[in-house]
Amino acid sequence: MPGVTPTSAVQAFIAPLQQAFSCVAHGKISIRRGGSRPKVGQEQQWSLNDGGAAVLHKRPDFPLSGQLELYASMYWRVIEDDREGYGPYRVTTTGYSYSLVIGEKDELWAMHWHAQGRSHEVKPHLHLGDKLLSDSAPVTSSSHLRTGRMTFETAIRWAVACGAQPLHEDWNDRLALAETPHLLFRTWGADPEVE
Amino acid sequence: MATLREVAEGGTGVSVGEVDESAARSNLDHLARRFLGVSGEDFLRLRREGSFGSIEQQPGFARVLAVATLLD
Repeated sequence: MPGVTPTSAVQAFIAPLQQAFSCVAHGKISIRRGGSRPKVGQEQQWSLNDGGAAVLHKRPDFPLSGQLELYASMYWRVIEDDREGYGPYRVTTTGYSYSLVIGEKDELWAMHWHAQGRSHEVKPHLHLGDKLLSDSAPVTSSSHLRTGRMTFETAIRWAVACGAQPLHEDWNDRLALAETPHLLFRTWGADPEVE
Repeated sequence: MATLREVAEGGTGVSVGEVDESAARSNLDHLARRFLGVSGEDFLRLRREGSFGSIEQQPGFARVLAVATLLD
């Protein structure tokens, strides 16, 4: 979302998030101090409810007891972009952490993208909680969990993560090489109706 | 000082504003104890020291770290 100033770019970035959050809860999108008028290039962050939980309503047939809580944080910065329609300023996302927790501390899932840090996985990824793999899971094999557009190479990575034995030591590099042309030239990433 | 006006825009029931540091510190302590078994102060100390040890492998780690970085 472009803006004529860094501040207006932030406002254009936040407004859709506000709408999205309002679909499941009321609360606050908390921006790091100084983030509402950020300097270009400065790392920023927002989190729901000052870093705390957003308590969600459960469907009547929800099989698990306890409070259902959503946590979300996104890392971003304002950049200059001189492409027509993209600037002069816009926000670019640099990471995120979204998770859903049930009860005292059971994580149902977590979506992470932490390009920096000590984790070996620096690309966007998903953690499935043990509860999703149990008999009392709130989803089944017929549930459709929307994702962004998944590549065939990601399917191969998931197969390896689930126990397939790679045939080459450099399998991850080979997959990255195979995937790059598609990522560079594909016309949509999350929804084929929104190019 | 908040520079982005707190809004409940268009009846969404979602306001936008700069972090309430007192609330964030309280959330940090609560979440660190609940998910990682350490106090918020201990979590911040480990972060300053650059080594979280085994708690970094726990499922709630990213959730707690996000509250700490919100205070940066």
